[in-house]
Amino acid sequence: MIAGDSKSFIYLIAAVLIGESVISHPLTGNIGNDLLGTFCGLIFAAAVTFILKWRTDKIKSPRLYVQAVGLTAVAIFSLLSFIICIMRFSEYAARVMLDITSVVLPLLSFGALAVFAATKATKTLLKLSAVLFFLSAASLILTFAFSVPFIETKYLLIYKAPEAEGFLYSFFRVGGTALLVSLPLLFIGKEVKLSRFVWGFILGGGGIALCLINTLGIFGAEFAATLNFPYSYAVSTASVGKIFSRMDVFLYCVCFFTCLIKCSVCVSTAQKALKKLGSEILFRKN
Amino acid sequence: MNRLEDFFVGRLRDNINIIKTLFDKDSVIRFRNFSFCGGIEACLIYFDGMVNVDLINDSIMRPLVLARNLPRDESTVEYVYKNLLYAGEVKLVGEVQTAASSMLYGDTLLLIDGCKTALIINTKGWRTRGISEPENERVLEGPREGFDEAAMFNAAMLRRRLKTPDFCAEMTNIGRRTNTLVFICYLKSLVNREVLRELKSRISKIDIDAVLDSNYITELISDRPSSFFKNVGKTERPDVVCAQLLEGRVALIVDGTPMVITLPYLFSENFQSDEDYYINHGLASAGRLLRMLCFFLSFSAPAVFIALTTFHFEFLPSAFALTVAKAREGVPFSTLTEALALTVVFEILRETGIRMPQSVGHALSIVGGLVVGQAAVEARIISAPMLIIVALSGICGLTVPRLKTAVFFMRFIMILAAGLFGLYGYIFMLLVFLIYLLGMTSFGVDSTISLLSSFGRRFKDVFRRTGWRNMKTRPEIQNNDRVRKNG
Amino acid sequence: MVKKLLIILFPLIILCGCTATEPNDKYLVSLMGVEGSSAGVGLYYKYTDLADASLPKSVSGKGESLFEAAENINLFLDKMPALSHCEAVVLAEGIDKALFYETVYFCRKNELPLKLRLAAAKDIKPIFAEENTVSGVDVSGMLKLAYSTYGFGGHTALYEIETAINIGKDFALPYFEGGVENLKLGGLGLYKNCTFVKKIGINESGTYAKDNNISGEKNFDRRGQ
Repeated sequence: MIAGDSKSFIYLIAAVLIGESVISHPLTGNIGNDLLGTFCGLIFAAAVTFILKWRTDKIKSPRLYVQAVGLTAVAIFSLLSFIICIMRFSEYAARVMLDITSVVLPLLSFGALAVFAATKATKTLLKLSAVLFFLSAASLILTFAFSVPFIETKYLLIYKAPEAEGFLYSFFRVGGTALLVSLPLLFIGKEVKLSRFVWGFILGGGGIALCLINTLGIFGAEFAATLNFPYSYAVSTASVGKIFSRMDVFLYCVCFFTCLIKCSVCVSTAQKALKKLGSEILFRKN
Repeated sequence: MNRLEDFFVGRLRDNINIIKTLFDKDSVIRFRNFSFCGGIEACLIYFDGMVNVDLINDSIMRPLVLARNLPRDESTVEYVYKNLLYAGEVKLVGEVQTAASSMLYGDTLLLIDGCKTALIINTKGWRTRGISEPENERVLEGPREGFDEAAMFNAAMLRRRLKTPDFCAEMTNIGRRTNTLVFICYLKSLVNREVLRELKSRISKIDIDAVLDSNYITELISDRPSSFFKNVGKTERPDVVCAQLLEGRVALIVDGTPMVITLPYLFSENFQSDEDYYINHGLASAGRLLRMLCFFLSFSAPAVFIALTTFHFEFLPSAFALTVAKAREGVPFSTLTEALALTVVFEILRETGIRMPQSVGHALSIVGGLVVGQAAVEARIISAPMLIIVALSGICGLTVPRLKTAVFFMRFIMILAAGLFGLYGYIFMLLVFLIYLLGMTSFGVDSTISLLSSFGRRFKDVFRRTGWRNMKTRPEIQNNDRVRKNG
Repeated sequence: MVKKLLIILFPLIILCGCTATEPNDKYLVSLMGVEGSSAGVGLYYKYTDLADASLPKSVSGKGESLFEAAENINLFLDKMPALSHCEAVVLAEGIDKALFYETVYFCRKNELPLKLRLAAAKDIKPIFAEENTVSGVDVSGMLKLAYSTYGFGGHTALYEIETAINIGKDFALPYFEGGVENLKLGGLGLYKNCTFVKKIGINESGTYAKDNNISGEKNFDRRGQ
């Protein structure tokens, strides 16, 4: 295996983690809940992932029923993640990108594109994630950099203590979504070192953090929570000279790219898991 | 029709008749009957216009006519072969087909009465175009030699540069009727063995009447012959071929065309210029990045403009939005129709520029510029911003000639996608092309293999051309010998 | 089989994608005005006509609600008004809390930019009179200049006002006064519970802005462009 293969895995993990959170990160109206909940959720998901990775690395040949349960779980989680991501993206595409269009069009077309990408070899998916992650990261950093003059530090400094309900909502939404993709990633990245997972989580978490700080800094927690697609509206208030009166055009690319990687990985993983379940366990020829 | 004999017989007259039957009604073949050494009958057979007549006279006729005391039996031909002829390459042949194939390539056949074997003497002397600079691959600095239509001479040009026994040129013939000579060239210690094996396998499966150009072979051996993007490389420059061979690639020299095929082909080669390695590496890098930008602009500029003006008006600054809207006032066509029509007109102009006689060139540029440019805008048939965008896109497409097919189709597809679905459609099609591109292979080698390399290596000869001091390893096309330079 | 499916699907997909409108089929609305009375709601647009781009034109409509007024305006226009480039919304002094909320809702529903400025005026009719050539860009420029000169007029973006409403905070909007020929910024209009209370002069406005931490010059410079 070329060394580059597993390095691209870092970008794959990061892109999958960012996924659709660029468009629809859960906001509760309380900055304490939003920041702390996100941070704790990501740490929780990362911890569970690393423990699972460490355990599965130790187990050389698991029993048949353990394999069956594991593969079924992978397939279910992958499909669940795929459905959540594609629904969220389709809503964003139909309401913001395409304006007066039925949600069916982006749902079908984006779904077909994700399936098309998923049918390619893992190498292709890794290369795709490397290219799209760099473009997304560049766009995110660019939009963040141009939004900095519009960020009101008072919104970030007015710290409200997190409330239990809001914190748990944020924690489980973020942690749960991140965890939903960990199992699939563990499945297709069996040969990949743990350090790649660490870096992937760091980069992915960094991307989510950038979006969150940008949104909360521009709008404040209360107003941001009333918006359907808070980050999109946040960067729409940023401008650069007279050329770019709004920056949310870059966000179209970011969410398209990260959602595509996430959906493709989920479809690919579900397909591989079901295939393995069928050929090696259910219909195994003794 | 009489059954053709497979082998020569002992009688000269019968052998001559065999050849005459084979080339029945051919007016170009010449038969020179003569006798030497006091009565040994012989005949020289060759094709007029393909041989060097002086060579025949000096190397064959003269020594034979002046010969004395020759054995008069089966061993005559062997004696002549070893002791008399002055030619550089002489072969003994017994099969008629072998002899005929050699004659068809400019050799001369010597038949001697009483001998069942004949002699094939190398007297090639057909006229060639000679070495000239390739028109489509001009450079400001660097070698100016280009291949011509003779495969043998082309192979010799490579041999002259690669003075190593490692260089190998395997000969094969393709085409049932043309029997076109093809050389498979590679460096034995560097070539990717799987690629070579695969290539030979594909060539052996070619079953075609004629091969008149390298493109015939390209389409028959390509991974995806109908793909917009190239799977195999083509060049007319021997220095480029040598550089490719030194990276572990294989070159196919086809007789009758100066275009040499190189494979496997990486996508990054589309942005390399022939003189990248002959000029300052900083300038070469800048040129490469510029070409990448131009490729992106060539298919994106019209599409993004259409998407922004018709679907995402809110992204345009007020002043620019007013300018665009004012420019479009009174234009009867929609933005999408305008873009498609102007792109078609541009392609017509480009195609005409290639096909027309040079004397008409000036008139055409005036017609194209005045009529399409000025008059159409003033008559409000098209808008000025769209004309500028399409012209920019067209000019950008011309900076990457290796991707002209891809640019041609992608431009239309992107315009349609953006015109129907705005930025969503544009990004969607961009991703479709990207996924397709990243999955492309060329003879089993990833076309975008450099994307899997480490970050630093990716930048050495892909996005920029690093200096020769730092170019220590070869690309990952092969794993035989990656070290290019020690220290 | 796949090719046949694609051939059938492709025309269906193409039919979904025909929502494009040409840029010259729209009027660019740069300034919007809202007034309320017992008779109903009045909505005003200042837009640019491409045939005579130097002079913005005005149009107004009345109705029971802002949405009805907007529909009535469309009856007078031969092209769709594009609100995506609206720079500012001027509110008449007398609008009540319900109409204020409706204005904010109207802006959000029609996807007006969140960074557009809100302003107040005693009477918006002179601003939207045919003879008055002021446009949304001019209004935005006046606010910017006042900000850099006196320190007030900033932090009045739509989303900022909406945030203030959400947290129950009072706010102040730049106040325009004067007639058709001599429109100018007269200070700040103070709002309590989304209802106009009083207008304060220019010097007092600068002090008010400083006291309430809404005089950050750096932010406005970029937003005002």
